[in-house]
Amino acid sequence: MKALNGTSWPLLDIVTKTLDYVKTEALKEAGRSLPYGLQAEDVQWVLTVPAIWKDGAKGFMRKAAHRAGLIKEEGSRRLVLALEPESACVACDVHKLAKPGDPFMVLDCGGGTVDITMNTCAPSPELPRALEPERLVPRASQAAQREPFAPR
Amino acid sequence: MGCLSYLPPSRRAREAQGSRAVNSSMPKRKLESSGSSASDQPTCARLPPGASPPRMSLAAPAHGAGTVAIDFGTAGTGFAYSFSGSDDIESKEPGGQEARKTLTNLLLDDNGNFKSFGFRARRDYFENQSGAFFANYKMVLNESSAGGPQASVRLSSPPSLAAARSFPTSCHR
Repeated sequence: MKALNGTSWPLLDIVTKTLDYVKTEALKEAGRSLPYGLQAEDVQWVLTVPAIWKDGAKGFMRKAAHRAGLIKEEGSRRLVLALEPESACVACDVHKLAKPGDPFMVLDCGGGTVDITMNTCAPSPELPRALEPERLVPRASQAAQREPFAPR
Repeated sequence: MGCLSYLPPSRRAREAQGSRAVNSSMPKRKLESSGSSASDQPTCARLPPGASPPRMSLAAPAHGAGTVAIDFGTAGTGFAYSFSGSDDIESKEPGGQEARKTLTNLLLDDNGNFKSFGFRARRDYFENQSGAFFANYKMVLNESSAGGPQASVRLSSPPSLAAARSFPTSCHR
């Protein structure tokens, strides 16, 4: 990965340093009200990734999270990689907007990319809450990602 | 194969019927760190028949004092946290107090050590014009070479459609 000044650095180091910084800030902020603060091993970590990412890129994030000290083993269950569109569905209580079986589209217009995914609301009448991500089973998932504004 | 444990018991029972297809289609799906401790390993495949698996939800995380989620975006990065037993979710800007995201910009010094991140990194770089400044690096991540051979998860045969449906995609690695 090239920096603006032309020097090259390993991408894994850049992502690791990013996660390390956010980890430190998050633990500092969340641990302010706790008498002994908060340590990385006390926390269930969630890291969102785009739905269209390949396993290699997800594995890369897991590796970076491990190197940044979020988890002690790369395969730790203390880190969940959550898909961004599914996280968005959880955040906006999609079950209140869509009935089971309804198809719906998630448009994520971010600062750098626009991501579009199609989902179907899974039927699960036996559960009282619809917040669990497993209730959203993407059926015909189509994703598009482009880079409208950002120079590479 | 940590995924089954995230399913509620009722659904897990329903999908146990299709579990043979799932198991045969994904026999080699293993995480890389085979030497990790037993307490931290996915254990769902070995749960005794009557045991109810742990549930994953925002309010009751599977582990620890709380949940911290990081939104690592192309342009902006933020985080949110929630303590166990509480439904409140606080979202914050890394390195600040605002409920917003900061820029996904990283500044390293000339030796490659961390200097600053976010709005601060951009300001530092454009004021001093020194160090290695990075932006938009998330875009490079999904390009085929980024993960490298050892980072990718290999399946000996492609998972069946039934297997793909029975797992919440968030659990895929």
